[in-house]
Amino acid sequence: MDELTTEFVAEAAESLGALDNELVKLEQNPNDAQILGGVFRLVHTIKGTCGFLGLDRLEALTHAAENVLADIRAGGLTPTPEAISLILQTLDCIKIILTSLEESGEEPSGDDAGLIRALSTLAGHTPDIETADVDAEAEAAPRAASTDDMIDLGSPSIEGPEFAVPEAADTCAPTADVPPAIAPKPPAEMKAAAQNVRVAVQVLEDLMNMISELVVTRNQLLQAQRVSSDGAFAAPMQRLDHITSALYEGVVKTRMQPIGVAWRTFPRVVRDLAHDLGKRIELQMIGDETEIDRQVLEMIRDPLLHMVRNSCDHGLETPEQRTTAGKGDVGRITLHAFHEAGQVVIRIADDGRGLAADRIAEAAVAKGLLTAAEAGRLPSSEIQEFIFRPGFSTASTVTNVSGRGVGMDVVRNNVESHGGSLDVHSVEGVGSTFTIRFPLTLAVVPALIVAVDGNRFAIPQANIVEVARAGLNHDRPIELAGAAPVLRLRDRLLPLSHLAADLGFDAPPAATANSVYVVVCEIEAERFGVVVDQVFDTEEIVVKPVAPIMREKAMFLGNAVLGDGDVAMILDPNRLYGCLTTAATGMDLTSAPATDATTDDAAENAALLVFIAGDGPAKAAPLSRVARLEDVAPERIVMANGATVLQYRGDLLPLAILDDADDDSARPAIIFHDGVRQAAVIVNEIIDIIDAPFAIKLAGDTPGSLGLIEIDGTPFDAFDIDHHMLAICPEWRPEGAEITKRRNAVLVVDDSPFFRHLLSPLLKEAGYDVTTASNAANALALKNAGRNFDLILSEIALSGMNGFDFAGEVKASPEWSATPIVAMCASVASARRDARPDAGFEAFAGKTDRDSLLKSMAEALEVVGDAR
Amino acid sequence: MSMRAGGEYLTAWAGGRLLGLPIDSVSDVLKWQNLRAAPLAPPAVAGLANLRGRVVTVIDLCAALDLTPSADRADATGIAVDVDGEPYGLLVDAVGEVIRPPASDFARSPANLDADWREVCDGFFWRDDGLLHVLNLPSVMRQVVRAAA
Repeated sequence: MDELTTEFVAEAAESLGALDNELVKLEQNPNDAQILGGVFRLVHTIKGTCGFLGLDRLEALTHAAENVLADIRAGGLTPTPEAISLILQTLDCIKIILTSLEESGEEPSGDDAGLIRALSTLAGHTPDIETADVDAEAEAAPRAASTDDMIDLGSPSIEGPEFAVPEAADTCAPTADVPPAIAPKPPAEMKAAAQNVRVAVQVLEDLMNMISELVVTRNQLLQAQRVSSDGAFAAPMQRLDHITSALYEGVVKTRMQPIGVAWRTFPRVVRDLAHDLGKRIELQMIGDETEIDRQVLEMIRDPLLHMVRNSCDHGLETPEQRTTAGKGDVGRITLHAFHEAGQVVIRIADDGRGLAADRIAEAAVAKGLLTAAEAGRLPSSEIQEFIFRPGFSTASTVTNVSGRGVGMDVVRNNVESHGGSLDVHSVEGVGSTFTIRFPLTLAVVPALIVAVDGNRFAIPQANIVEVARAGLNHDRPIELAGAAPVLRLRDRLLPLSHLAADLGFDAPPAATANSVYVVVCEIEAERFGVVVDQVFDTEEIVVKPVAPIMREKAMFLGNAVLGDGDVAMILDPNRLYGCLTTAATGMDLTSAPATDATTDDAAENAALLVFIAGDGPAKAAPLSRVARLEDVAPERIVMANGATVLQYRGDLLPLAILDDADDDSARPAIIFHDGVRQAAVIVNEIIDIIDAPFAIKLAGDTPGSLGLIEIDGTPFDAFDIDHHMLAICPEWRPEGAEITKRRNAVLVVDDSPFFRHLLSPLLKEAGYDVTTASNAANALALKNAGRNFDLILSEIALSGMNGFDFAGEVKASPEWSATPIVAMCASVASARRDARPDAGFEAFAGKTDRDSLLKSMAEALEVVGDAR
Repeated sequence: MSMRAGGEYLTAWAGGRLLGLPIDSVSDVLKWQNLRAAPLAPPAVAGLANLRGRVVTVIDLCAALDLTPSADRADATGIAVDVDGEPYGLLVDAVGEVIRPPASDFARSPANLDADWREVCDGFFWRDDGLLHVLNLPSVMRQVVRAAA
């Protein structure tokens, strides 16, 4: 017996138990509409399910009983004891069939013609009708209905008189759910109830928790046994191991249910809706055996129903409209569930009119969510996303089915709050497809265990695409685009999240790493890499909630106990990606004159960004001057003080619009930096990043172009960054020779080897040539040796000659008097207080605050540069 | 806050203070093994530990109450507690005993008690070995979060 039939028998058994009592009450209170409605709904539900399951005999019986009840309800028939008896007799007969169905899985053969005839007579008020006719009707009509009912919901056969009465009844809930109003009573004689025990979900949850502890304990025992030499435990341990695994799988299975459980009521819903709406709808359900976590199942039941109703109401057209549009007059809704990459995917597709982008745009404009100009620019796929905005409904008429504004936003919120996602893909005139994705189970997640700074973390496997080795030792260095760490991986520039830095560990910059792992993750088709020190294996982990006091920082999905009993936090890839896009990962871009791609020799290869902006050939610019590439939504481009500016991380950047597109939605922007400032240009298209010498072959005199460069035989326009930037940002510091710029030489004087070791790579990454000295005397020795530096970075509390005296010496010397000195100190405030006015420091910076340190250095250099 | 007369307390020492934890909320006294770092957590969070399959967030009471620990943290003792249904761990310098102080020894917070202490402390008991600070654990947790903000 299949799952559905088992469910049906159990459910019907409960319903019938309740029905007996209800009928008895009805007999006593013939005029109680509420009881009558309840009885009617019960019979109606059983009938509907029977039809769906192809249980013809049952359906014929319930159908006949339903007609009688419908007549009673319509007032055409009083519930006389005789009538009630007849119905009770029918119920008994149904019970006999159900019992047999439960035992054998099939309907017993038998003849209910007499009973049906009696019921029909009662209902039809046609005692004098010819027997043969009644027989024929009793035989034929219900059978026809039972087969047509579900397969072709729109067929005219269901418009027959048998259906007219119940369908017109307005108290019949269109959802046709199992009526909750009537408390199910345990049926005394049905065995179905005995075979299925209802267990509180909490019991299963507790079991799940305990079994996961058992698994952990087992793992610990196994580990202990491996190191001990005592063989006496080997055999029992092995058994314990197997039993624990089996037990775990069993308990996990109790959490799984076929998705069909959630949508078994849908055929009725669709059928009823089709009637109400005067549409012809065919519902196809594929993959209802797909197993899904019960928690997820409970959660998606209502959203799914909502979406199916939406498809019926808004999605599909009336038969006339469909014919006009050249489609078949029967609309089709397809529910499709399947497993994919550790996720459950549920698609709700219809072949209806699709989402009308122009109507959605209109409504969005009317609600002030969009300006008309923006509406014209956005592609239809983004406009369609507006259906997920709160209070958004484009239904021109509010029907009782849908269109009340409680809509897709609630659905999406619901889905997302449970770790799922909801997307829509729609082509106007062809249909819409909604796709829901969910993790297979919310309790057990396969995760990759990684380590950063000696701490282990888990990353959900579902988000991981691959793992790559990177670093200087692996011929695949982590590079800097601006100051953002990136990895070139198979023709793609992968933005990197430096996990150690994101988590607040004191970590050297990613770009200096010799050997690291990059875990490539995917969030909604966006790929990015997570830089970690070590990668271990994949484990099935049990997700445990994060303590309330830790919830402020939602970087974590939860905690987990690993196989060896250790604790690890589970990273939320969504948040990692968020960190990546909202904050500079390594250090503040504005303070770092990042010139990693800079080479002293212009003929050497440099990373060049190739893009199209306006007419002319594709343009190329050195990537070292690019702070960031972004797709910019139109609402981020605003006018301020007569200038066009870009809203960027809470700042306003001067913006030049160089593309000639006006219909695009999100347009690519290149954000350039001059070491201190940033400014952006909007371009048509960003094509590629290529390695090539930025050697100008043909110097031109066109403003905005440095000339032509040739890369592999193709001419590119050498984009004059400074020309364009100066036009929009007068303070822009032009560095025409940026790519051949000399690195600033900095002398670091600090007696702590730790800090010298810490600062060197940091400063090198920031574009300085670094020389270190362990005390003032060594530093002054360098001066005497004829060395020159652009900047001196000195600790104040030096042993021997202190920082103030050292600065005095430097400023008094003819060789280094012009060299700016930045003081490093633990406390900036107290250092300033102690400083003599003539000490000669250009700036003070906290040595542990690298951002302000780099900024102070850049400013000190700038001041000196300006003075020269 | 009702006076906890007749209540039982587990006494503990942290930063030279004698603290009293309502016994109902204490589930275990132990040494935390393998504390794991909890990045981005409030400063008073000492780490995460596995307590029989449950992950508990361990709070250093000295840090939470802004006290200077008098014992080496390696010697610190752990207390497993339940705060509003959530498992937490506490780290203290030493654990004393379970006591049932007479209600007559109870004193409300004095007028000059600063606001931070006033919030986390439900009152005091006079003891021979010092003044017992009766801790309100939910308030301690709130203070931990606030200190991080």
